[in-house]
Amino acid sequence: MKSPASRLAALASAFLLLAAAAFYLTRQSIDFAPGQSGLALGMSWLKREYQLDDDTFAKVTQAHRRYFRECAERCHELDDLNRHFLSELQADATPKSDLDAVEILQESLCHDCRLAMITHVHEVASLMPPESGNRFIADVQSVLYPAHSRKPRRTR
Amino acid sequence: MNPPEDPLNDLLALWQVEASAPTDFQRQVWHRIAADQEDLPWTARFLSWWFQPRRLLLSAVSAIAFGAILGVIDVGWHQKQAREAYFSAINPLDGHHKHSFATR
Repeated sequence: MKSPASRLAALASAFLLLAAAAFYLTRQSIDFAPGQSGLALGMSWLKREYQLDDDTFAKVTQAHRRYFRECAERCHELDDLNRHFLSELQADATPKSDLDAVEILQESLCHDCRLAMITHVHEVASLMPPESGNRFIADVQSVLYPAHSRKPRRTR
Repeated sequence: MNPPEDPLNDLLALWQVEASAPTDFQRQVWHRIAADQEDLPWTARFLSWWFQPRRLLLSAVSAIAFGAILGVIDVGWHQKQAREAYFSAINPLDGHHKHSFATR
């Protein structure tokens, strides 16, 4: 015959199992991207949050691919610039490149990156239904430029 | 065919029990039950308190509700994480800025 302590432990375990099953089932039934992480998770969120149909989402995904390809090119340019300047610094304490000129070039590249992001955001918004597109732009503003955001109320 | 009648049956029919319970019989019984309960370990006492249909049902409902609430909270957290992942990925000034899609 089992001791009261082990019976109590068995009973408590049964209720814990029940709670775990309820947790799992709830999660499975309402989670939109189970097991995803990083950008894949972000893209699933975008599709669900702005109620994009499959065609629109395919176009939005393509726009993101183009944007990230451009970003990669700019980042390589920036890395090359930094590497070149650092190697000059290591070779000679007074490098041939003008520090100001390098800074200007870096800032110009960063400015291009920001501009590319804004263009990309507007491109993505234009692919969405008008209401979702406006909400998307407002959400981007509220996250990236919180001081300038005027977020409209969600209709859902 | 009926079996022959047992001679003991007549004697048993005549037998009358003349016994009466003491006046504090019930009190004594409850006292002994209470004394036995006090000797039990707390686990046994808790188990006997818990092991009743209404309490078991309530516990099951509470466990399901608790699990479901945790599930909803977890999904909300996952959703928040997804939103942050997206905005970090598109922001070129963010450390988590991505240049390519993860393989899906």
